[in-house]
Amino acid sequence: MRRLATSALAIGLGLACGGSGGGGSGSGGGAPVVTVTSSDSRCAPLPGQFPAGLDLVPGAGARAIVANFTPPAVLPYDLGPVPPAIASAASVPSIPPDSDGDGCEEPSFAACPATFPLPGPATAPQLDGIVGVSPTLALVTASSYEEVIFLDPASGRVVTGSVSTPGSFAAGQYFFLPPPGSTAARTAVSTSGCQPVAAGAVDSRGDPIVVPPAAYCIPGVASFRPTFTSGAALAAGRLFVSMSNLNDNSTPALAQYLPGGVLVYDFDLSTGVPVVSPNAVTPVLTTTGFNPTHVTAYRTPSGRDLVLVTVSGAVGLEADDPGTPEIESGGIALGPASIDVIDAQTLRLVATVPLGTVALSFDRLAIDPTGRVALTGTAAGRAIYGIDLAPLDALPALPAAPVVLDGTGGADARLFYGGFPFVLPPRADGPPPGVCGGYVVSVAWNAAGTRVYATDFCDGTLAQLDADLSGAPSLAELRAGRFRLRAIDTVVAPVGASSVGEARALGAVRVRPGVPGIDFAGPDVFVTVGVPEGLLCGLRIESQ
Amino acid sequence: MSAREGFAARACSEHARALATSLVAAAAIAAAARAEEPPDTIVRDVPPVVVQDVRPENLREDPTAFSSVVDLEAYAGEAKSVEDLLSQVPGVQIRRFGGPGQPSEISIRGSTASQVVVLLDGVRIDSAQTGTVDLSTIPVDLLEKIEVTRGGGGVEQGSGAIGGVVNFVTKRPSAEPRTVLVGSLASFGTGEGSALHARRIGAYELTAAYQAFTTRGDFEFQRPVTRFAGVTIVPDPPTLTRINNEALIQSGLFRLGRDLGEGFHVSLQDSLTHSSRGAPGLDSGAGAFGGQQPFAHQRFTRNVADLSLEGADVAGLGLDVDADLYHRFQRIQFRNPEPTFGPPIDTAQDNQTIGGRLRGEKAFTLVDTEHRAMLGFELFDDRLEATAFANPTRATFDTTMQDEISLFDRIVVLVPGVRIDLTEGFGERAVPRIGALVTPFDWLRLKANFERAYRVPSFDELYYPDEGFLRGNPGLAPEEAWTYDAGAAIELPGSGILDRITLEAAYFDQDIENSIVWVLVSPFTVAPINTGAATARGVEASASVALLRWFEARASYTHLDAFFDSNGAPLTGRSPNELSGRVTVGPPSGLFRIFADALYTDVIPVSESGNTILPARTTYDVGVVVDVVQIPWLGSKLPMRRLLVSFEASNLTDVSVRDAQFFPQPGRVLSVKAEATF
Repeated sequence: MRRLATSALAIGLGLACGGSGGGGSGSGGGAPVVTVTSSDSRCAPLPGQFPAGLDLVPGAGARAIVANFTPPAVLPYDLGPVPPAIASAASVPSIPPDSDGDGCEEPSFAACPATFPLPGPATAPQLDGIVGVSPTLALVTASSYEEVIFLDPASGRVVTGSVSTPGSFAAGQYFFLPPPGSTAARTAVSTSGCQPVAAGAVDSRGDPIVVPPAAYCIPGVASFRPTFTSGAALAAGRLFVSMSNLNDNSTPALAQYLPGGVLVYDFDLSTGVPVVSPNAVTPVLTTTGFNPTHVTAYRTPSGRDLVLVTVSGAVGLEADDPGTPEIESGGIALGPASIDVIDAQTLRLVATVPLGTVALSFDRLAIDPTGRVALTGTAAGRAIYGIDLAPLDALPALPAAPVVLDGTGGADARLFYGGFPFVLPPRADGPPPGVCGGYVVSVAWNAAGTRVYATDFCDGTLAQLDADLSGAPSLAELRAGRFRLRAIDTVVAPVGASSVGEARALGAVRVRPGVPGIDFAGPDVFVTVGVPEGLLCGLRIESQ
Repeated sequence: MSAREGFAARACSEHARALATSLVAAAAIAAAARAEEPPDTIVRDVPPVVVQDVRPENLREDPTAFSSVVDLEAYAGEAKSVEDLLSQVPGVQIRRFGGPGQPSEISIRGSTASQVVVLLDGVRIDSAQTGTVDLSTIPVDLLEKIEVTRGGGGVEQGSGAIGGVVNFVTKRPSAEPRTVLVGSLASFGTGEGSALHARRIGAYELTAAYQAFTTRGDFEFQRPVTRFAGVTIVPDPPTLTRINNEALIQSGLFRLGRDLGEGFHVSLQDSLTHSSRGAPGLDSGAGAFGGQQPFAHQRFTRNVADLSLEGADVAGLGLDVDADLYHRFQRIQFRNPEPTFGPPIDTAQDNQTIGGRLRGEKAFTLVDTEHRAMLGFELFDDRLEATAFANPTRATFDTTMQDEISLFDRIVVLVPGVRIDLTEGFGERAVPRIGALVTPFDWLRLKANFERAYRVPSFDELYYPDEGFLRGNPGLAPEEAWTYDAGAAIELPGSGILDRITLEAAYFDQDIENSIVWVLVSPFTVAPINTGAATARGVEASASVALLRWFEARASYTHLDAFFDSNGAPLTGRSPNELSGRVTVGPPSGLFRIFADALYTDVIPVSESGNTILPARTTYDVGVVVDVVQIPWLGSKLPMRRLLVSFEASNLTDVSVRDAQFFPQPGRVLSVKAEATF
């Protein structure tokens, strides 16, 4: 008996000590299943809040892809049914922990401590936007780990491509790419590149940019690592990636941006898989202003490939005024915005269209089917801005400096700009102006080029504009009356105290190609919703 | 899209930081030995009902309230945490934000954590900064019991008592000196030890205690699968190990008291708690860590000192008086040298409260009715020393009047009361209440309460630094509520093989005005706002039975329907149904006790709409406690009065548990514990 008791005690202590050593099972058995549903019959649920991006898949009929923020994944949707139906098998893969296929799970310093060269935060990709390239390829931009991921838009799985680094590059110039002069199979191309700093350059606050030589990413060249991978576009066999370079947002009302950049890669999809390499001659272009938030490919009527860069300008957050009952917290424009124009062949910044201090929104530009007008919204108000694309065809291929298309010394490409915005009316029961005074997230054209749609995050509304681009109107005619507000549709609730629990925070808008009622019978306009759940909603507007 | 992406991700990260910071809640304690506690005796008989309905005489201040007492003696030797114990109380839900040593909070009847007043020996420990208490900072080994009053309490406690009141009561000296040593080991590098000595020396009483808890916390967990639109997303990797989850929590308690004669007793108590732990944050995102923060760290310190003077039957007038002077200090520090976004974070906030209160009670008879009238005053000053918050201060003065009117030989007891609060910046506020207790038979009690409650916004809610993505709202109005409940309690005496049987059921309804909720107010900013009316109503029931002095079973059930009135959207984080049960078997001698606990938690809505839900689950804990001293051939050779050795498996079936979507909890945990009483 005594032995039994002693043994029991010993066994118990052993168990506990074993347990304390890490035993005790405790993996939590089967995985918990989080269920997400939608209570809006028009909308399909997304697995997380704030979907990072929405795009259509060229050549894939009624297929759309959504970049999901958390869990990180790309979701294919069939736009035909109501609500849109997930176009996948029983499960969708999430972005793998080794998102670029370099053999090291992110954050790489943990998985590959011997090879990780960057001290710093626990970087892992944060999905940001998505671009449908073909039925077999989509590009997903991701910050933090800074990359463009290759994915199959049909399955959401990563696609393996071939990534190489020019032999002329310095070692470490692109840390996460193969060593200079070599090629490797990768599922993403790193955008953690290197951007030179011009002599005398200043940041968005007007302060000189001082990079300690030890932090140069090209030895001996004043340079910094671009961050905040934002948009991607393909043009002339090249991949262009905008880098916002937000450096310090600890004081949101006075966020600091370093000079904006656009990374350039040679891109070949002729073999069916992406073959990518930083351009050996011009790997990066510095934009005319701060905070480039997207790039949009544009082919002029004469067939010239250009890339339009949405330079949003420094954007901050309004500081609260304790003297008012509202919580002032909307976006504020801290600096000038513009649309920069890159010649995709010569890789020169050939023009810029100044639009004023207007905080252009961060979605890609909406270009009408005829290629005449490009529109976008604003993160700091209820307005649409845009440019006339007609003057771009005549731009020189190799100008000494970017041509300024503001009419001061030549052509004027400003359609709607700071001094002449296309203003959208606020929702009657919307949030107070000081709290959420408008954020036109996204703009899209219909397939016929006769109507423009614009989503407002604050109001939860979808604005419809009638557009008439017929007859090659002049810029003055375009401004004068070719765009008219048609309707403001209430899609979801406005942001504010009275709408807690309700769907709100509209995001991207896309219009299904084709003629509603003839080419297809389902919804024609698609929008994403941010909270409480992410939603993808199909709306019947043109077919009504 | 730099700005949007940056804002979103930063907001997410800041969310985690704010959450963690607020959960590290705080304040402290030290209190007067107010009510006379029953003498401490070693239980070698049938354990008392563990969570039992409280007889009126146990809480004389509030006989009509629906209250529960968790007697820790009934769990002696078991490796239970404060959270485990409170989970068994009807009406109470616990939200854990990780494993042992990580933050957790309480909800009563669907309340938020800040709508519950938390006391340690009668002194508030929920600070003005956060309005909440992190339950993981409560030293369970130093507790004697936990008193839970469900619903209201605004007259007694003032701001914050909307859901209810929890009072942690520490161990007190008994007639004989007592020394208790406790040690335990558990999975994932978890260990705990404590030492307590309590004694009376003549007119003096002394208690000194220390508890330390440590854990590596490196448990493996299953990441959630998301099911939507007929498909699922399986995370990659599907399992992870919790990183940066180590914790060291230490608590000390010292109390010195002296009988002054003529019914007066003075005591000085100081309670100090310090925690240092990693802040792994959310399990969300990509990469090998799944978004967990490898470097974030929190330190939390809370000290409460209380000087108390009690007088019974002062000057032979039948007047009982109780006076306290207290000081509470709390420091919250948070560091993350390498956050996902932005510059390194290194913040510290000091929160202090100093106050005093005086309360008098007198029993008398008036027109054939018995009265016990109480009049109290309290004045305290809260101040937050944090430059980023602009060093806010707030003074509060209150007056409380309450009577306990007994009619018809105590068959009917009415408790009307009112509290007048004057809070700097929020003006005056009257908080009335009326409670009724009817005892038509000895075994049946009928109770009902109707009262007002409110909560002044916390400093975090008002003055959280304008970081853009998160910011406070100085324009907040207090939350106000009407709470009412009604129910019955039955206690049948033992007969034959039946030792005891108890039943209790109550309906409750809390109508809250101006609920304060952190919501998205603009594209890039989350801030607290008054969102209008909300309701939390439901039913709570409990039952227990004891047989043959060997067997006891107990169960409690709570049904909750909590929603915003405007659109019916559910209040997040509250499960609509929770059922707990406990069975113990053991001889009256106390030689051993076999126990089994079960806790069923229904789905938990985690989004404002209620369309994102966590799954229901049932967890089981089993174990055995042996009192080695009771072993005949061994006990006589041991120097201690009691030596409890226990083996326990928590979450026996290794179920994935999450109270919050992005905070994993460990699966099965094995532990062994020894508790020696000298």
